[in-house]
Amino acid sequence: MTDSMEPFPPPGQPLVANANGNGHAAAQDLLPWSDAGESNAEDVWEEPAWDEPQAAPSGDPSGDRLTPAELRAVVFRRAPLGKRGLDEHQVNSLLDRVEAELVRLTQEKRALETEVELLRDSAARQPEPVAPPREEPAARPQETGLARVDQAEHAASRSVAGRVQEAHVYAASLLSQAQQTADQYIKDAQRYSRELIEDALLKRGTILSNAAAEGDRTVGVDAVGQEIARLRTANQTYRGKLRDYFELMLMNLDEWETAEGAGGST
Amino acid sequence: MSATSAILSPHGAGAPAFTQVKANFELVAKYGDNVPLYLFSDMFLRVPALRELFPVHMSRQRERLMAALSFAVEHAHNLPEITPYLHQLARSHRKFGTEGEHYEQWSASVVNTMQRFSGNMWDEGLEEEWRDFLSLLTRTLSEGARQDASLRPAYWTAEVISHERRSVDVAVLRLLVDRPFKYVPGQSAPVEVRQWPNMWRYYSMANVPRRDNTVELHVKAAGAVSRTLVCDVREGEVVKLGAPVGTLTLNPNTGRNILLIAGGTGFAPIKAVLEHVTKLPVPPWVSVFTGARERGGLYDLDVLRDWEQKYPWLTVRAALSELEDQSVATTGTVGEAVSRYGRWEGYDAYVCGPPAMVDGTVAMLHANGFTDNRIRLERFAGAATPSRRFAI
Ligand SMILES: Cc1cc2nc3c(=O)[nH]c(=O)nc-3n(C[C@H](O)[C@H](O)[C@H](O)COP(=O)(O)OP(=O)(O)OC[C@H]3O[C@@H](n4cnc5c(N)ncnc54)[C@H](O)[C@@H]3O)c2cc1C
Ligand code: HEM
Repeated sequence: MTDSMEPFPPPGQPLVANANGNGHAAAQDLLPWSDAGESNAEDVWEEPAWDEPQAAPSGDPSGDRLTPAELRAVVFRRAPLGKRGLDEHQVNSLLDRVEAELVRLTQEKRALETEVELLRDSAARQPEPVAPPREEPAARPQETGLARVDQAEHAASRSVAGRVQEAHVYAASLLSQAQQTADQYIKDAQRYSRELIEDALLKRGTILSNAAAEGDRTVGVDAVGQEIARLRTANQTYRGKLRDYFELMLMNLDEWETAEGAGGST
Repeated sequence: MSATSAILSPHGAGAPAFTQVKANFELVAKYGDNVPLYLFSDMFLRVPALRELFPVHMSRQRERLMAALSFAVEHAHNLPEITPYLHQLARSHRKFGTEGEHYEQWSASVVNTMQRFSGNMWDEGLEEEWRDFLSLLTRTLSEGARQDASLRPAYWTAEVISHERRSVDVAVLRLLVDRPFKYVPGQSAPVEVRQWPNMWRYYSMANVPRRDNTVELHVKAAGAVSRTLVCDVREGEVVKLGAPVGTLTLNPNTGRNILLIAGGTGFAPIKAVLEHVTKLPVPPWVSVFTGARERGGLYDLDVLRDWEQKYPWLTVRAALSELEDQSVATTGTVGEAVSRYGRWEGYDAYVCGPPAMVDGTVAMLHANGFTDNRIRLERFAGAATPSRRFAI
C-alpha cells in the first residue's frame, strides 16, 4: 500500500507513548487552558451535547431506478463544469446520452413490469378454463396446464429479471463513464489552475530576486543600512504590485472554484 | 445471512476463513478502477441520495475504498485483529453523515459488484460467504460509530471570527467553535468548507485549547480547500470541524530540552506546542527554528520575537531558503540552520511542515545523532488523513 492509500497508521504500528486506543494523544487527559492571566478555576470538561441525530438523507431503496431528471443531480449536482475552459458541450452531450439511455431503460423497465403483471393475471385466470373438463379421467391435463402456465410465468419473470438486471448493469456502466469524465474534467481544471498559480509564483520570485540583485549592485560600502532600507521599499512596491496582480488572478480562479464548489447548492 | 451460516455452508471448506471471498476478491481486483467505479454507480443508482455524501471528485475516493476493502478482505479470517482500524474508520465517517443503513447499502453494492465481475464463477455459496463477511464488517463499523457517538458529536461547527491575509498565500484564521472542542496542543482537525462539500482537509490548531472555544488556524494556499480558506472565506462564514487527531504533542516528561522546527504553516502546531511549554511550571530550554521560502512565509515571526523577549528560556531563529532577507533570517533551509547551530544532545525534536521539508529535516536530525524516539513529527501531506508517522 502506498502512503496516500493508507488511510490510517495500520494496526500494530507503534504509536506514541501518550496515545490512547485511537492512536491519538489522549485529549481527555487535558483540560482547556485559560489565557495567560485568566483565573485557572474549575473548568470541568462537559460532555458535549449531542448533535441531533442526523436524518439520513435516505433515498428510496425500493429499487426504483434513477429517473432521467435526477441524473444530472447525481453526477454533477455540485459541479456546473462550464466555467473557465471546461468543455461544457462535451459534458452535456455525454449527459444527454446517458439521459437518453435512462429514458429508454426506464420505459423498458415499465414495459417489462406491465408484461409481468399481464403474465401474472393470465396465470391466475388460466386454471379456471382448464379446470372444467373434469370428466376426463386423466388427472394430467390440469396439471400440465398449470405447469405450463407456471413455467411460462417463471421463464418470463426470469427473463424480465434478467433484462432488468441487464438494464441496471448498463445504466451503472454509463454512470461510471459519466463519473470518470467528471473526474477527468475536474483533474484537468485543477491542474490548469495549479499551473497558473505556480507560474505566477515563479514570475513573482524572479521579479523579487531581480530586485534584490539590483539592490546588491548599488549597495555602497558605507551606506549599507540606507541601501537595505531602499531595497525594502523597492521590495514592498514590487510586492504590492505583484500582490494586486496576483490577487486579481486568484480572484479569477476563485470565481471558478466557487462556481464549481457552490454552484449547485441545491 | 448470519455470521455462523458460513460455517455450515456446504461450500464451506474452511468457510470461517472466508477463503472463497479472498480468492474471489483477488480475481475481481484485477479489473482495477472498474471495480469501485461499478460499485459506486450501483450504489448511486439504487440509492441516489447517497451521492450527496461523497465529493464531486471520486477518483481518490475509489482508491481509498478499495485500499480499505482489500485490507479488510486480507484480514477476513480474523476481523477482530483489525477492529481498532475499522472502529477508527467508522469514527472518522461520522462527520461524513454515514449511518448504519448506508453501510448496508454499500454491502449490497459490494455483492452486486463482485457478482458482476465474477461471471460464471459466481454461485450461491460464494454469495453467501460474501454476505457473511460483509455483515461482520458492517457490524464492526456500526459498532465503532455507535461507541463514538456516546463520546462526542459527529462534528463541530465553527464561525470564522477573524481572517488575516498575512502574505500572498498564507492566512491566519480564528474560529469560534460552537461547543467545547477538546484537543491536545499540536493536534489537527479535519475541516470542511461550504464551497467544497464532503472534502475534509486537516489543519492544525495553533493554540492551546481556550475556555472561549476559539482556535487559530494557519493556512497556506495549495489546492482546492486551502485556497478557499485563504482567498475566499470571510469573517462570519461557518465551517465544520471533525474530531482532532495527531501525535505531534508535547512530551513534558523526558527531562530534555526542546527543539521545535517548522516549515511554512507547519508553524501552526509548533506554536501550539510552544504555548503548551509556556504553561509548564518549569519550562525547559526551547529553541525554535522557523523556515520558509521567502519573507512572506514567516508570517508569524513578530509573535515569536515578542515571546522571545518575554521568555528567557526561548530562542528563535528564522531561515529563508529561496529569497534571502538577511535582516530577518539566515539563508538556507531550517534543517541547515539547525545543523549549523547544532549541539543537540540534550534535546527532543518536534518537526512539522510539508513532507519534503520534514523528511529532509529528519534525515539531518538522524545525522546529528537523534534517534526516532527523540523525534515527533507531522507531515502536511496532501492525503486527507494523517499518513504514516513515527513518534516517541
Ligand atoms: C495532520 C495534518 C495537519 C495539517 N495541518 C495543516 C495546517 O495547519 N496548515 C496548512 O496549511 N496545511 C495543513 N495540512 C495540509 C492540508 O490538510 C491540506 O493537505 C492542504 O491544505 C492541501 O489541501 P487542498 O484541498 O487545498 O489541496 P488538494 O486539492 O488536496 O491538493 C493537495 C496538494 O497536491 C497538489 N496536487 C493535487 N493534485 C495534484 C496532481 N495531480 N499533481 C501534482 N500535484 C497535485 C496540490 O497543488 C496541492 O499542493 C495538514 C495536513 C495534515 C495531514
Ligand atoms: C456508504 C457510506 C459511506 C460514505 C457516505 C462515505 C463517505 C466518505 C467521505 C465523504 C470521505 C472523505 C472524502 C474526502 O475528505 O475527500 C470518505 C473517506 C474514506 N472512506 Fe468512506 N464512505 C462510506 C463508506 C466507506 C466504507 C464502507 C469504507 C471501507 C470499507 C470506506 C473507506 C473510506 C476511507 C479509507 C476513506 C479515507 C480515510 C478517511 O478520510 O477517513 N468508506 N468516505
